[in-house]
Order: sequence, then structure tokens, then C-alpha cells
Amino acid sequence: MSINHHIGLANIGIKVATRYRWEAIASLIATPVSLIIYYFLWKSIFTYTGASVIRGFAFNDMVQYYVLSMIVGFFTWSQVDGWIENDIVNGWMFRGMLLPIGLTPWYLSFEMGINVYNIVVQMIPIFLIGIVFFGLPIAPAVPFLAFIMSIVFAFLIYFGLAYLLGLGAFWMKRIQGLRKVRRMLVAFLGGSFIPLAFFPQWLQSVSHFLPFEYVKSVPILIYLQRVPVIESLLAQLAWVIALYVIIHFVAKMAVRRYAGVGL
Amino acid sequence: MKYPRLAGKMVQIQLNKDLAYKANFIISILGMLLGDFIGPLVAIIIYSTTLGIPGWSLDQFLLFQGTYTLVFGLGHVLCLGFFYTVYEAVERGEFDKYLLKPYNSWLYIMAIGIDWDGSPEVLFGAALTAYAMIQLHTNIISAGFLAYLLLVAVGVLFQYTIITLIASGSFLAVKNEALMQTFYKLSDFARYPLSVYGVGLRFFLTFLFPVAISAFYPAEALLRGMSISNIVLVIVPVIVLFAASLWMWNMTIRKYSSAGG
Repeated sequence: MSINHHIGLANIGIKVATRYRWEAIASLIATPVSLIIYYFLWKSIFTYTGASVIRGFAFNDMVQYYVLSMIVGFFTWSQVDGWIENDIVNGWMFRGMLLPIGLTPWYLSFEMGINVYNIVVQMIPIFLIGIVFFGLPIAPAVPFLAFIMSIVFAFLIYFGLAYLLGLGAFWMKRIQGLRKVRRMLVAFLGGSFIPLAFFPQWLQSVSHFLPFEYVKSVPILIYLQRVPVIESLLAQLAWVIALYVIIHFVAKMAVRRYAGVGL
Repeated sequence: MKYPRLAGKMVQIQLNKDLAYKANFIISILGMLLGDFIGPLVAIIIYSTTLGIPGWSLDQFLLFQGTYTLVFGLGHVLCLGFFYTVYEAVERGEFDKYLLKPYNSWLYIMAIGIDWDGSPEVLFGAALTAYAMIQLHTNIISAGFLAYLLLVAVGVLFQYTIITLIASGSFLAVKNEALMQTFYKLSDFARYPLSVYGVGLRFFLTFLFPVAISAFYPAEALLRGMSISNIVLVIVPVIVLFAASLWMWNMTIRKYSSAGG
């Protein structure tokens, strides 16, 4: 399969994303709201606690952490499980199956197209807002490049997790419940609500063996130069490989079950 | 009584539909409970590593969070479906069917829009609030508790207000789902006590976009007491906005063109 096929599929994703442009714009307007909330919340907590550093984070570090959390979130966003569920419920999955490229590349390229749109409309503006209003420093070249690599891996892990869950729809048909659980687990254990350094030690140790922190926390900490780069990227790569090996086998089993009748 | 009866029927139908996919049904409830549980979990983590939010002990903050979950859960059950029913009907050009019925369109759609999906949120919010009240030895036979109940009810009224306003916008803009997203994002301000924000935001969240009525003022009335004049002061903006939302509904419904979008 040539790169042109991928670009073609990504174009479809971009077109679908532009259909939801008002949602993207609303999200862009609304995102600073979260930053403002976290800003005031942590300002009051730091003042009340009377400490300049809590769990290795100064107040400015916390603000930057949340700005980066939004940026990484826009890049890694995927709701492929929702698309798969929709295609199964409506009996449309045959469209992807008839293409000579395989289901996984079809959905991956499609989601990448959506994310290209997210990067332009949401991620870059928030990055600029972060620099201008929230004091986000521009990382030096090497950590910045490592950050870019890390968010690409993070996207592949997030997509892999969502895709694997989406394959569950071949058995269960409806998977909204599982999707809710997935979103919550990734957000909480990924460090979206609070940096993992605030977690109890046992939970931090458990978290190292789960994929969630590699989706959000690790890219942020790479940007902030708080974790060893090579080690972190290798761990992310290991999760990418592991997930796609599992997907390969599960997808084969799933496709065999497909009847194409919808609900 | 016809509207509550209608709402009851809709819940029955919805439940039957959901039970057709039992595994999804059970996981959905667990997912919702897990989502609700994360708020208190983050609060516990914050309070175990810092002194917490100024003026709020952990139990007081859990009471605040329980109230927030309860009010938004009630909003989910009672009025969220209203918006989607209107939105989808307007988008497909099918809203006429509601106008032809011999019912008040607002009450009718509110009744059929009841969404029991939010009930785990309501139960969790109520349980968390009850737990915090027990920890705080709160006396429920008190003026403070009465004020709490009144303000929770007004918090739910605010949910009706916003949903009605956004749904009215569907008649003008057709595809206005993004406004719902913006509402929920702005509502995030209410997730933390008003005391953490600056004066300008406090004013905004009390009088212009009075979402602070969803948790801050009820919790404040219960924990520290509020004078009657202050209670009236925070209720009035919601009532004015609610009246404006009904006026807006009646005005915009005349603009409906059956064209879809």
C-alpha cells in the first residue's frame, strides 16, 4: 500500500473533522476555561499550603503541566472505538473490509486525518496561548524533538487502546460503557487531572506497568525535562509494539465474526 | 398528571432498550460510577499531599462535590434529553410532530426527554453528600438543611434554564450542539468552591452565569449558614434567566421552518 492511499484516507478524516468544525471552535474557546480553573485552584492551594514546591512541582510547573496536558490531549485524541461501534451497529463495516488495505491502516489513517485538523485548529493555538499567557517555556531543540517523537508514540498507544476496545464491538455490538471506562482510566491514570507524582507510591509503581501514563504524563514530562528521554521513548515504543501485536491477533478473530447485518 | 405519566412510560421504554444489551448496560453504569468516583479520588489525593482548598476540610469538600454531582446528575436525568430531542427533530425537519400534539411543547418534550442514564450520577451524588454529612455531623432538621434543599432545587432550575436557552438556539442556528459543549466546559468552574477564584469570576458565576448555585451556595448554606437576603440574592438571577429562557423558547419556536439542516 502506497503513501498516497494513506493520504487519501487521511483526507477523508480531515473532511469528517471539518464537519464538526463548530465543536472544534467551541472546544478551542472552552479549553482556556480549564486552564483558568486549574490556575486559580493551584494558586489557592499553594498559597494555603505555604510551600513553594509540592511533590517536585512549583506553582508555575503545575500551570505548565496543565497547558501541556491539553496540547498532548489534542494530539493523541482518538475515538476510533466510537467509529467502529457505529460501523458495526449500522452494518457499514464492509466498506473498510472491501478496501485492499486492511482494517487497522484504514482506521489509523482516517484518525490521523482528524488529528491533522485538531493540530491546526486546537493544538497550535493552545500552544501559543500557553506561551503568551501561561508562561510555557519553549523547550530546547533536543527535548522538543523528543517530545514530538513521544506524542507520536502516545497517539499510537492511545489509538491502539481505543482500537482494541473498538474491536470488542464485534462481540458486544454496543460498547458505550467500555468507552466511558476507557476514557476515565486513561484520563486519571494518564495524569490528566493531577500529575502522577501526587499519587501514593504504590499507585505510581503500578502505573509504570500500565500503558496509560505513556499516553499523557510521559510526553509532558519529556517536554519539561523531568524524565530520562531514551528510556521513556523506548518504554513507549515497547507499548506500541505490544499493542499492535495484540491488535493483529484480535482483529483477525473479530473479522471472522462479522455478519454485516447491523442491529 | 399526564406529563409525569408520559415521563414514566419513556423511562420504561428506555430501560427495555438498554436491557437488550445487558453487558453494555452494566458496564455503562460502572463506567459512570467510576467517572463520578474520580472527582473524590482526586480530592483525597490533593488533601493527602497539600493542606487542600482554603476554608474547606476534606469532608466539606466532599459534601461540595457530592452536591455538584447530584445537581448535574438531576440535570442529566431531567433535561439533557430535552436538548437532543429538539436538536435532532429540528435538524431532520421533523419538529412539526411536536407542534401538532395537543400539549404544551416545552412540557411535552421535557417529559419524553427524561433520560434515566443519569441516575447513577444522582445516586452517587446523594451517597457522597450523605457520607460527608455523617462525617460532619450535620443536623438535617435545621434551617441550613432547608436552605440547602431549596438551593439544590434552584441549581436544577438553572440546568433547565440553560438547556432551554440552547435548545431554543436550535430553531435559529439548527446545528448548535457545540453550545452544549461550551456550557459543560463553563460549568467546570462550579467544580471548585467560588472562594478559589478572583472577585470578577465570583461575580460572573453568581449573577451573570449563575452556575455557582449548583454546589457552592447550597454547601455554603449548609456548612456556614446564609442569611435570607443572601439566599434571595443568589436565587433571583436564576429565576430571571429561567423566565427569559421560556420567553426565548416561545419566540424562537415561531421561527421554525421545517426545512431541516
